[in-house]
Formats: sequence, C-alpha cells, structure tokens
Amino acid sequence: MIMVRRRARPAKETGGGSAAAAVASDGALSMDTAAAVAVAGGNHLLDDQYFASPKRKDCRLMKASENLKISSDVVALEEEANNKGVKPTKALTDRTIGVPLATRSQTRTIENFFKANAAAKCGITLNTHHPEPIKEQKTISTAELPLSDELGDEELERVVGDLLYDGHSTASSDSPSYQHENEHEEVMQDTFALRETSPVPVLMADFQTHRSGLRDSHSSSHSSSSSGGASATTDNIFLQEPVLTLDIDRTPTKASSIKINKSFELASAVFSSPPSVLNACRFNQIVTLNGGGQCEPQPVVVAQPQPQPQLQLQPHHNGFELDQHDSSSCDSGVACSLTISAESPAAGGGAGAAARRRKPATPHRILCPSPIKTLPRGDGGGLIVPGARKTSGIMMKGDLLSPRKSPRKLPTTTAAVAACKSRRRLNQPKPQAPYQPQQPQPPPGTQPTNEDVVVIDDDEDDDDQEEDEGEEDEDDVHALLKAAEELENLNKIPIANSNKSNNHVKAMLKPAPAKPRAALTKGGSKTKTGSKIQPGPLPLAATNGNREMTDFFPVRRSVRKTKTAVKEEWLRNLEQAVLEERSEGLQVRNFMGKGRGVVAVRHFKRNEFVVEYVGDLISISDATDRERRYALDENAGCYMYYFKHKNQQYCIDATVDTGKLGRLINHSRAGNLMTKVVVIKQRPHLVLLAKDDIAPGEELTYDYGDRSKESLLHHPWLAF
Amino acid sequence: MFEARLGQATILKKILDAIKDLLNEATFDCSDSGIQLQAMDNSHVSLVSLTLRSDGFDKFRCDRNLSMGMNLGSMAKILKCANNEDNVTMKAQDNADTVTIMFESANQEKVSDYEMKLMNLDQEHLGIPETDFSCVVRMPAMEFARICRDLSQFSESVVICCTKEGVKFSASGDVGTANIKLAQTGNVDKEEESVTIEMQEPVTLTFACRYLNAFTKATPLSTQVQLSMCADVPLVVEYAIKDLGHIRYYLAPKIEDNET
Repeated sequence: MIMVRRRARPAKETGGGSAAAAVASDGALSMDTAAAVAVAGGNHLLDDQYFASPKRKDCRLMKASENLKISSDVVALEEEANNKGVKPTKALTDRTIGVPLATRSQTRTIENFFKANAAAKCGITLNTHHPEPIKEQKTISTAELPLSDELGDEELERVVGDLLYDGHSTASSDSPSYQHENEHEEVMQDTFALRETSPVPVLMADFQTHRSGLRDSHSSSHSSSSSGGASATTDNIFLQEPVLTLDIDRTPTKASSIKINKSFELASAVFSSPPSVLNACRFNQIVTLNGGGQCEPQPVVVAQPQPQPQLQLQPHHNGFELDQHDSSSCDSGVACSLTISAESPAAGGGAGAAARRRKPATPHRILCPSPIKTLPRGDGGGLIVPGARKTSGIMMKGDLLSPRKSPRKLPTTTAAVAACKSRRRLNQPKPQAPYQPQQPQPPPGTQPTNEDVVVIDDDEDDDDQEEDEGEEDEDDVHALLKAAEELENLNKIPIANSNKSNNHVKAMLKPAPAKPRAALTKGGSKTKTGSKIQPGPLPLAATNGNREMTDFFPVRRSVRKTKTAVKEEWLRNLEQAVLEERSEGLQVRNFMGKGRGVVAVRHFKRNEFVVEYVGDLISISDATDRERRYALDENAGCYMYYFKHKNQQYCIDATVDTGKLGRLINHSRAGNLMTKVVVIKQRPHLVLLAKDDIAPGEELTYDYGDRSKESLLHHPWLAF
Repeated sequence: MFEARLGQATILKKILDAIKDLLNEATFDCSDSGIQLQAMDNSHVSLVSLTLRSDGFDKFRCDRNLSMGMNLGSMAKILKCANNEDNVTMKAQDNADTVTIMFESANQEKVSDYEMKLMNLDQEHLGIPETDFSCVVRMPAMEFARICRDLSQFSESVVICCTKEGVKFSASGDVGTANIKLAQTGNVDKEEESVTIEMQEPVTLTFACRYLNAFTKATPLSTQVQLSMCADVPLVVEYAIKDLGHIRYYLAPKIEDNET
C-alpha cells in the first residue's frame, strides 16, 4: 500500500493539482472539464497502482467498473452544479441543519464525486459557493472557502483531505489528497465521513485547528508536503544531513551516540548514507516530538562536529567489524566506548588486534593475562598515546607492553602483592558507557559539547558524581517499585473484603489501609461472644457479618508450581543470595600446585546458588587498561572475568583480594559450577551455580573459558 | 489422557446444578483416585468440595494428574444438551486446553460431543482439617430444603440449635419469628425419612440463609443430608452421591450479635 502510494503521488499531483488549479481559477464549466481530466488521471493511476501491487489485482475489475460510475457521476455533477447555480443560498441553508432528504440525495452525488476525485471536489465547493461570501458559513464547503482561497491548490487539496480525515477519525494513514486513488472501501468510508461532517458545522473550528496537528502526526503519510517543504528550506540545518538513527548497536561510535541519544533523542550513525527525503521526514517528526523550537539549535552542534571524527573513525570501524566477527561474544575487544575527541589512535592497532582472538567454549570467560607477548602484534598498540588510551575499546590486552620486555616465567603463586599502585582506582567501579543504556533516564543537563560526549574521562570526582546519580536513579526506581508493591498489598485487603459488601468496601477504602487488616484479624480471633466488629459500615444484607472460610481453613498453597513460578522463585532466590552476599558451605583450602581453592562443605543441589563472583564491574576500556597494568605484575593472577550481557560487554575484575570466595574458585574444563548473569538493580552480577549436585568435600571449579593459545602457554593449567 | 465415563448424564447434570449457583468457575482436579473439586464462592463465605471416586465411574482413566478449570455455566449449558439416560464421557488430553464431553444415547444411535475450552484458574485451595463435630444431624434432604426455604422468608440468617432432644431452626425478622423443631425419629423403618442426631455437646450457630438455600440445590442428588456442626467451626452440609462420592458445602458461621 505505502509503496504504491508513494509511487502514485507525483503523477497525481501533476494531474489532480493542475485540475484543481484550473477549477480554482475558472468557473463551473471548466471545473467539469477539470474534473473529467482528473478522473481520467485517476483511472490511469488506478491502473498503474493496481498493477503494481499484486494484491490489488483482484480488485481491478471492480475498479474499472467504478471508474465508469465515476464518469457517470461527472455527468450528474454537471447537472447538479447547474441546480446550485440557480439557488445556491437555499441549498446552503438547507444543508446547514437537518439535511432534508432531498438535499441529501443531492449532496450525495457530490460526495460520490468527492470520493472519486478529491481535486474535483474542491472545485465544486468553490464554484457553488464562491459567489456568496456570506457570514454564516456553516457547511464544510463554505467554511472551507476562505481557507482555500488563501492556500495554494496543493494546500487546498490537503485541507479537504484533512477534513475528510478528521471526520473519519480512523487512524488510517493514507494521505487523503489522493484518496481517490486508493481502494474502494476507503472511498466509501470517506463519503460517510463527509456526510457526517457536513451537517455539523460547529466541528469545523476544531477541524481547522486540528488540521495542523494532524498533519504533524501523520507527517509520514503527508511526506510529500512536509518533505517538499523541507527540501525547499535547505537552510534549515536539520535537513542538510540525515543525522538519524536510533540504532545503538555496536557501531564504534556507540558510546558517543548513546549520549547524544539521551539528550536529543537522535543518534548519529548514518553519515555515510546519502541524505534522503525519508530521513528528512523522520527528522522532522522527531523534532516535533521534542517540542521543536527548543531543541533546534542543539542538533546543530552535534551535526557539525560529527562528520569530521567520523572520517577518522572509519579505519577503526573496520577493525571492529573484523574483530567482532572473528572473536567470540565475550571477547574483551568488543569495547564500544569511543569518543568523538578520539585522536584516531593507530588504525593498525584495531586491525592487528582483530586477527588474534579465538573462540572460547563458554559464553563467559576469565581472561588470563599473559605477561609475555610473543606475538608481533604490538605494532599498533605501541602507538597509542596514554591520553588516548580510553578512546577506543580496541583490545589492548597486552598491546602496550613494550617490546623490550623480556619473556618471563609463569607467575608463581604468591600472595597477591598484586594490587598495583592505584588501588583506589581499582576499587571504584565506574559507571560508564556500558551501564548507561540501562538507566531509565538520561542524566539531566548534558550538553552536546565534545567534552561531555566523552563518556569516560579521567576525572574521578566526575565519575563519582555520575555514579551517585546513577545510584540515586536506581534507588528511586526501587523505591517506587516498593511503594507500588506495598500499595498493591494494601489494596488486596479491601479487595478481599469487597466480596463482603460493596458498601463495606467503600468504607474500607477511605480509612487508612491498616484498618481493614485489623478488622480481619479481629474477626478471625473473635469468639462466639464477640460483638460486631464495625458497627457503622456494615449495612449490607447477605454476607454481612459472615465470616469467611479462610478464617477457619488455612489456604493451602499448591505444592505444584508452574514452571514460570518456579523459575521466578529461583531468580528471586538468586537475587537474595547475591544481595546478602551469601557464601555458605564453602571453605578455602590450599591445593598442592594450585594454590588456594574452594571446597564445598555441604551438599549443593543442581542449579543452586553457590557463590557470587564478586569484583569491580568495569567497562571494557577500563578492563583493557587494567589488564595492561596487571600484565606488568606477574603475581596478579587471572581475575578478569569478561562476559557479555544483553549485547553489552562487561568485565568483573576481582584481582584485588577482597576475601570473597568467588574469585578463588579454580579452573577446570569439566567444572561443577556454571556462571550466570543476574541483573540486580540494573547491574549485572555474575553468580556461580552448581552445574550438578555437589557433594561435601568436592572442590568447586568451573571453566574459565580462556582457550587462547597464549593463555595456555602461560597458564598450562587452563588445559585441564 | 483423561477419560471418565458415567452411565447416566443425569447425575452429572445434578452435580452441576448443585454447584453452579455458588461457583462461576472451578477447577476439576483429576487424579487416578477420581475427580475432586474444591472452591470457595466469590465472597469466601462458603466452600464447595466435591469428590467423585474413580470406582464410581463406568470407566475411569487418568494417566497424569490433571487440573481442568471450567466455566461452570458453560459446562451446565453443555450438559443441558444431554438426555438424562445418555452415557456421558469426559475426555481430555494431558496438556490439552480443552475438554471433550461426549453423550451417547443408550442404543448408541446418537453420539454428540462437545468441546469446551478450559481455563487456567488461580484459585486458593484450602486445607480442611479433620474435625470432631459436636453435633451431626442427619435428616431428609427435602426436609432441610423446605426448612431453609421457609425460614429465609423471615430472616436472612437462621439459628441452628442442636440439643439432645432435637434440632431447632429458628429465624426472626421484621415479620416475626419462626421456629422449626425436628426431633429424632424413633422408628428406623424408612431410613431416608429418619432424623438422627449424634451429639457430644449442644451447639447453637447462626448461618446465612442465602447460602443454605444455595446448598439445597444439591437436594436431588441425595435423599439424606448430613449437617455437622461444632462451635466456631464452619457448618458442613453433606450430600452423598450414591456410589460415586459426595458433595460437601462448608459455611462459615455468622458473627453472632446476641449481645448487642
């Protein structure tokens, strides 16, 4: 349908529009001819259109017959126009209220014509009522008159169309101006609409005012007009460049675009595509949604600086693409935090990095840092300037290691002298790009300047602030939820009682919700000698004063639960466990050759929560940063847990010895635990679950998931 | 697969008539021991418990426990389509969301089947403890229905007072008061007409007539009704369904206002 419409429009506008023009300028006679022309055009278009859409083929015959009818209608119209010419005032007054049958039959023919040809309709209205600039313009046509005089032909058409539309009130998005080209049913509907509107002159004002709004909301359907206007005003900054997508997928500009998204509701990832009319329209829509005027200057800022960095980023893009296809979902390289101010750090880095990852078997994995870099891929990494290290998420796991580093032996197991210089920083989980898409509301007051678009910056205070904000948000949401829950609970009681009597309920709803509860318990504990609980609001008959079965018999919750209920419960349990940092039934033990490990001291059932992998939740860019630091320290161990959740790459860094047990669980390819991501307060948590029933005394292990050759080289135990 | 076949549709009809006034919808829990239904009415004042033992059916098969939530109105409509003498068979697949009810005329000449959509009802199931009742009264079901009907004209609540001598139903309202006393019948000639009282201690309880009247819709099922009462415990009105099971109604006592 839509396709067809688009195609048909230009032709129509030439045909119908010119017809309308002729009508406007000429008299009734020329109107007729113009109508005929338009009808002819319509026929042609109909053919075209129906041919184009295979679904319509079946209607073609019908349409053809209708066309015949139309032509006959034209004849009728001629006559009618003559009639009108004779007594136009009478017709007018007749039609204002009541619509006598006779005139209705007359108007009907007109309307038939309308439905057949909107352009011609305009002409008729003009012709019949032009000679009369009477003040009491009550019918549609007359009310239409001044407007149509002012507006151009095209506009006129649209106005008429919109009128049809308004009366119709269905949400069909067809542009009314060429409705005569559309299928039969719609036409019929429109005549109806018209007939409805014509006797109700009061509505007219509404229609007029609605018209603009309607056009806005339907701007996609009216794209011809709006886009036409858009192309005309090329000085409008929006329309110069299609700056639009809401696509927040893993394009390299992700982080920045998200930011922009938040502040303006429009993203900026489609520079490559040529400016198209469609995009412009879409843009228009968005602007109107945003409330127009205010936003207007903002996109300018965005739109201007964007294209430039985009060029620079292009090479990265390639690198990333490669990277993503090549590496698995949990690869650390899929970082997405790019900033506009990126200095284009070594395009080669990304490409080089792309080549190296291997798919691990598990969906998540702990990446084991390899202190020695044997592969000659550091070429790009070396070029990265410290200032730019955050600019891209190119996996720089070890890239920055200078080549002069001599190969080292495997790190021996010693206490974690690990924690490097900046412990403080490590302990601070930074709320950055990865988390922001999950926040319900954009941080207020962000401005589209480059500095602000930079998602990660070194200023810790700033980060803290942001974090606070985020947490506040979360808390707020939580509080709201809780409140809602409470409310629901409270409501339940009156509802339960509602069965007793309607009056009762009314009485219950008014006082504090605690009251009904009290009443209930009172009722339950009441003995025979008790008197009425509530003397006042219990006037209703049947159940009045009766106790409930539930006072006597306990509600037996079915032991059987539905699958979803079981799962929900399980998830709730997990959440609970994470929140209270449960780690019962576990014991740290030293293993020969392995160092510390964790042993179960009680029985764990399958799928049971065992322990959470506690650490700092950090972004990938941060992770790469840290990894580089850890790589310098041979005692750091493998505690960087990369995982992917909802298309977002995360890392939990547990390098710092916090005394939590999750980080101490050893690797085994045939482990008895598995990991699962649980989202609590919009933060993903990694929990370790029992893969099978675990007997007391068993060591807990799980698959770290790192299968890369290099890691194996440095951590041979990964093979087991 | 669940399949239950009853020789006479009329029993099922009566059962449904007995419960459909109180319950709009209910869950039939089918297991290999039979069909059970337990549901409270909307106001949670009364409770219906229906038990149909599997051995009472002509044929009963239930491979897996099955809960069939049914709209009882719809079910009653379907059963209206059956002749009283028809065989009735209920069938459902294990995970089906419909139940098929099939009626076969006695000579197999006419077979009609009706499929009804099942519902997923979230109903509370009550655990009913075993109770030693202070008083158990057995009386003709018709008599009980009559008493309830008569007394409901006077008041919306009826006081049942059970003593060694007999059981007294009384109601008092704007019109006046009504008392009906039934004494234990001495002769045991006609069991279905006898009134028997087993009493540990006397009991006086007040109940809403409306519900009692709803309970008496089960009267066609049985000749005798059994009222079990205990202080501060719901009244149990039980109708036995011959060879098949029983239907029990529980009614919470009214909060008494004697002292006000």
